[in-house]
Amino acid sequence: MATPVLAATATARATRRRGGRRSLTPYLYIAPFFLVFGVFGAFPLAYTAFISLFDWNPIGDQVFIGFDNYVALVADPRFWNASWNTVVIWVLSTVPQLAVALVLAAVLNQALLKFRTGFRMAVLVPNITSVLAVGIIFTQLFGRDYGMINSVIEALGGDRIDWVAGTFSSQFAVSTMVMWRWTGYNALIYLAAMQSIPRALYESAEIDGAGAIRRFFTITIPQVRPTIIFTVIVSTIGGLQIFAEPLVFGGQAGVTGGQSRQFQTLALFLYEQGFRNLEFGYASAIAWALFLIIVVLTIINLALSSRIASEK
Amino acid sequence: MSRTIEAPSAGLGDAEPTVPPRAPAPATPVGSHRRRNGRVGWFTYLVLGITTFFSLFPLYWMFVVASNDSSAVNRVPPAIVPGTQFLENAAQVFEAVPFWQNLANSFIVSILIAIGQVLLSALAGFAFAKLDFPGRNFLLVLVVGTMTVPLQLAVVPQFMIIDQLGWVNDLRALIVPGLVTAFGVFWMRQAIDNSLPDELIDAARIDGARNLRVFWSIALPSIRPAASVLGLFAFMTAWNDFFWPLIVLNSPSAFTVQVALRQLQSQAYVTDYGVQMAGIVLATVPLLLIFVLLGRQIVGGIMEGALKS
Amino acid sequence: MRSRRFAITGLAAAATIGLLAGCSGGSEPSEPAADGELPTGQTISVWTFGATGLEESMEAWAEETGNEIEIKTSEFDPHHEQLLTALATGAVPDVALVETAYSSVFKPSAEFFTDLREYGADDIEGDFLDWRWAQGVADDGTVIGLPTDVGGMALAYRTDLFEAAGLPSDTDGVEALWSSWEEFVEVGEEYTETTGEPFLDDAGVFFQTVYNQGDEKFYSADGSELIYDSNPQVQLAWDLATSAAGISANLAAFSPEWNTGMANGDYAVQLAPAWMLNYIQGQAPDTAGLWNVVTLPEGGGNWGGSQMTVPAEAANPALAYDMLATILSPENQLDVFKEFGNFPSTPGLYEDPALTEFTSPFFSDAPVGLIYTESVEALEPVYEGPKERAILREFGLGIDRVESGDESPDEAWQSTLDAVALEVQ
Repeated sequence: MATPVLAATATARATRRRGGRRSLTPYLYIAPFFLVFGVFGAFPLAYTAFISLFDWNPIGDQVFIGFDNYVALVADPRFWNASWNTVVIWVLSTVPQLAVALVLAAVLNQALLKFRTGFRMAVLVPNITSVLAVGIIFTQLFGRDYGMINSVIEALGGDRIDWVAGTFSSQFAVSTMVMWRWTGYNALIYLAAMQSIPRALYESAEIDGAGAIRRFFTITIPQVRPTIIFTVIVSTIGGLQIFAEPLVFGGQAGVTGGQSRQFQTLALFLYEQGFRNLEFGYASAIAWALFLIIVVLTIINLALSSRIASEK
Repeated sequence: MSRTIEAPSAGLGDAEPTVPPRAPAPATPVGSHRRRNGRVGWFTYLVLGITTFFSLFPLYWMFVVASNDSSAVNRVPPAIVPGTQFLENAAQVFEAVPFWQNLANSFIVSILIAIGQVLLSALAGFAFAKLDFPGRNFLLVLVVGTMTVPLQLAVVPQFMIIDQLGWVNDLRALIVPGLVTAFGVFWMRQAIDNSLPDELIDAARIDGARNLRVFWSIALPSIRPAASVLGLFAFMTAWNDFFWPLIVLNSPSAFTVQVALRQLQSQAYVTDYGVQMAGIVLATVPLLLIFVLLGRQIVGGIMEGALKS
Repeated sequence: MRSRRFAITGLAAAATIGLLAGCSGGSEPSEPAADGELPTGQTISVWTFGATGLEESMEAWAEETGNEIEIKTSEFDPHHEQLLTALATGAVPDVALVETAYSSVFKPSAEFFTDLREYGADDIEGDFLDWRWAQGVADDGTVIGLPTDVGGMALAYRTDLFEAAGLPSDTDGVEALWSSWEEFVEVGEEYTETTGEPFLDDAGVFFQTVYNQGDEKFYSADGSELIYDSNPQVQLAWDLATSAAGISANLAAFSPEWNTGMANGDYAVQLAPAWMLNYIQGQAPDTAGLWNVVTLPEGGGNWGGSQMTVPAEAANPALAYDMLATILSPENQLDVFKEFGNFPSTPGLYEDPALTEFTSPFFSDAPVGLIYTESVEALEPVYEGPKERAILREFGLGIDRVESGDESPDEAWQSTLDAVALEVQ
């Protein structure tokens, strides 16, 4: 564990570098993560890769078929449908979610806000609400015949919407659920970042006559840029694996994502093939395809958000 | 942002991190802009009020259903005022499952995961943020990459391992896999990178502090707010998880609260929503209590730290 | 707690190989003692999805035999997914419930279950309905499970809504309204025209009911080929169900909206298996006395019911079987029926006045005992293949698309066949 501290005459930075390079310490620091990940993450991943080459029923035949699952996947319209749905739901939920969270965090960060602890805790409540309760509540809200949202639409003179049956309407509803659950969570993350912005920056900007909105764009956003990138990555990865919300929203037809698979995400498609149809080989191929999509979109996103944030 | 060395005198006792301002603070009386800066308009309260309403309404409605009989959900319009049956429904929950035991199980699992995750994530985050070692960037990408693994299918191989370890129906099956998350490592790396200036570490090293000492006495205190947030998230996630516990736990005495709630389906196809929601309410109360008791410290603490600097 | 443990080293490889071989150790099975004495002091673990009404019977059995019982309840689909995971890894319970909709999924893997004939299942076969028994018998004759209750079908209707629409509301009058499904739909159309309200709750259940009444389903009787696209019974069920789209409230079964519609009187007729009567009473208690029950046109029907299975690696198969034989005995099934309404699968009871004279006050004193007896006796065993459930789901989705107006019946038929083709390839 011991790291020799080198001569105090060297510059501080050089000391740190040299000290680290000779040491096993950093590896010991990260070892617990990789140990547990190795057992519960890497092994399942390798296992998934392995069985994706099989026609694999966990309680039946397991026949090696090479890359046939992948060939079938590319030709499967359900796969492309689920990929498209996943991306649409992800965009519909993530972009407004992060934007709202950023504004909410800025509002909550005001020094003289009254009841601020109460407000901060309140925005996190959706995240602690059990998925079972969320399901019951949202199917009520988006109900076709008795849903509160349709009642409002009708009162305003519109026509009732069959939220679950429509393609856009169902994707919108699922995105709303995602937003509801995760906006406060992200707001709290932004808030934590905003706490460390030196107040003097705001004060000097104010002296220069910058209004609240201007300060938000010229100080807050650039200052929390690393955190924005962080949340963009995390919600890209999480958002593309979206699973619980569409499953709950669809009720009995949840696993297919509705009658026309109109809101079936890739994670749901994977689940359907694996656990409902016992096609674990095929499901594993889907898992790898999803993995690939996540990696590509995360990289694109990282590049985009770094550029956009740095242009500010 | 570039950090100028503000030469903290770096005695180890003086570990309060200071984030140096980018520009020197102007020498004007603080009080006058503090007032303008902090002015909060009615519009803000309106927005926050609406947000709070939408956030809290489901919680309220959970209690409404939990305090009515099963058919309250099905009425037109649905019941919106609490009924009188909460105690009856709650009594049925305690009759159906060993709920105190289940609460204790959930608490043990969640608290151990929260503490373990914060410590292990901070360790790894510290190494990634502040130590230089061959393969660092590659390993960091690997950590983030682990988040991209779709977990639905991993259930079968994970369960195989738990079975091999002899942990089926054992709380260790929940705790050990929950100890580390890529999110936690990533989060802690960002936090340490943001709030712990290199200069502080270097100064401590010059004073002869070893890595672990630097971690414990300087890094950890400086990221207390971020650690609190991660701990809270970890606790909540562990508390509310049910997919995996449902698979690895088999006997009622080993159930966590969320699995116990699944036992509340009454016999012969009929689900009693009132009892089920009463269970959900009872399972949410401890979380809310922790929120209210620690929330001020957790959420409020962040604020005070910032005001100081 | 599991006897089999490997060193952590090579864990992954060992586990993979274990699964590859389709085997896993599990705990030591307790063989029946030579003198026929069953062990005591054991804990029998049971996984259910909470639909049997048998929990109290299991407790009673445990008390009687000096053993303990440990029940784990999950929701419908998660329960079957856990069972799958457990079978694949060997960490299994002593008893697991398999619902009929899932039996076609599990039956091809009969080797993962104890063949209950080893413990004397042949001796009690005669107690059960032929077709219910057959739902637990694999292609090779292995008896993987004993039948629990039976979800015989009837029609429940709202007498007040029938009256308001100018239709007869007494059972004789209602039964005289139609002698075939086609006439049933015609009456529904009249009803909807008169009242402007839907007649039926859901066309998907209608499809399932009619499809269930044939000699063959999606597979030919010998299981050799798929006939979902050519079986006239499937076509008939499809045509009837899609023709009912206009009179259906299009409420998915078990959805909250369905429950509300039931309580609110949004539709007049519901296809009701025996266990559904309990469901209606629970979800719509204010409608007491407003319902009545009549038999189905064109034969019997079934929806639901489960087999109780003993996984091959169960720790106590002999005790588990003893428990199942006890709690599923005709006497006990009668008790369960009286308490919970789950209809017995043992025809010996169908002569018993306690059953045949049973009436339900909630349903205008309808002779439900007799009605459901007739319904379940009218069914014969029908072959169900491994993809039965997946195919049925696609047909259900296709009918949903017609009901919601997304597709015409012809478009939906084609899209359904396309979807099924992807499932069975």
